[in-house]
Amino acid sequence: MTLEADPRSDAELVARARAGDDLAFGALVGRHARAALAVARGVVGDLDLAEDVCQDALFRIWQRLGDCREPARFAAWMARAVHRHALNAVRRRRTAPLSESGEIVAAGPSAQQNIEAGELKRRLERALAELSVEQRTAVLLFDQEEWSHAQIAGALDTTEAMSRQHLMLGRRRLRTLLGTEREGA
Amino acid sequence: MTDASEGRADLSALEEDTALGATRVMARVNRRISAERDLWGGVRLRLARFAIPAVIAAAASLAAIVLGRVKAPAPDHFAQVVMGEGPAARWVSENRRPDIAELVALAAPVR
Repeated sequence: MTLEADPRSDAELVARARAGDDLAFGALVGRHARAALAVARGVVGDLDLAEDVCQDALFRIWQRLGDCREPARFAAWMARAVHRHALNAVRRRRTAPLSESGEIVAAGPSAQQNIEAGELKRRLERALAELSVEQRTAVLLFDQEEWSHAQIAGALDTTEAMSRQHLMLGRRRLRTLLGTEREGA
Repeated sequence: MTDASEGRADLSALEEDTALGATRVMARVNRRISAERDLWGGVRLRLARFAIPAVIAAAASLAAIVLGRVKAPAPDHFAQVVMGEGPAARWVSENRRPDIAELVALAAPVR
């Protein structure tokens, strides 16, 4: 099932979902799950925890779909809700941004490749964990999910200028950290 | 690269985990919604099976009581229906015991 390919607009899907059409909500989630996950990961750091936070936030969004005043801007509304939920989760759990231990390196037939990919991923995750919440969220949303600064600003209650600033500083710090690691390795 | 902050950060190493994570999130959300639907569906089913018939039965009982109070059957109606006419119907409708003369008169044709 290719939920992402649903031709209906967000506003149409929200209207259908409000009327009890769970497939329509599934299509909305399919369309925006990556962005929601990026927002959650930006706040909590760890992907596993981000998944927990994200699915919980999306379930609550389903329950409170009637509160979405501008269905056409569902993505921004959803991102704000996930952002708030993630901040609350961090406060509640007092979670460190990213666990230094417990990383799993995939093993298998092409073990050497997996080890290298795992190492790269681990370094990237460690570097991302060093960024501020705002920088990490901006980098993930802009560079991974290809959101615009206007979208990021709308979703995170900030300005486009601040979004640009967070992205620039985040990228710079990320490259410094990765370069330093490479030099130290 | 003149400014290290200008180009996109290469996050492709995270791509596989991100895609899998998003898929897991979608599946978990769908499961929770289905479970919620099943829960409420079950509650409605139980209501339909037990509570609604019970409410209907209670309403019917209440209606019977109310209607009974409005028009309670009188003894003379009973006498008219069961006994029709004659001295026995009068005893019931007048709520009195028969006297000897009436009993003798009633038995006379038989003798």
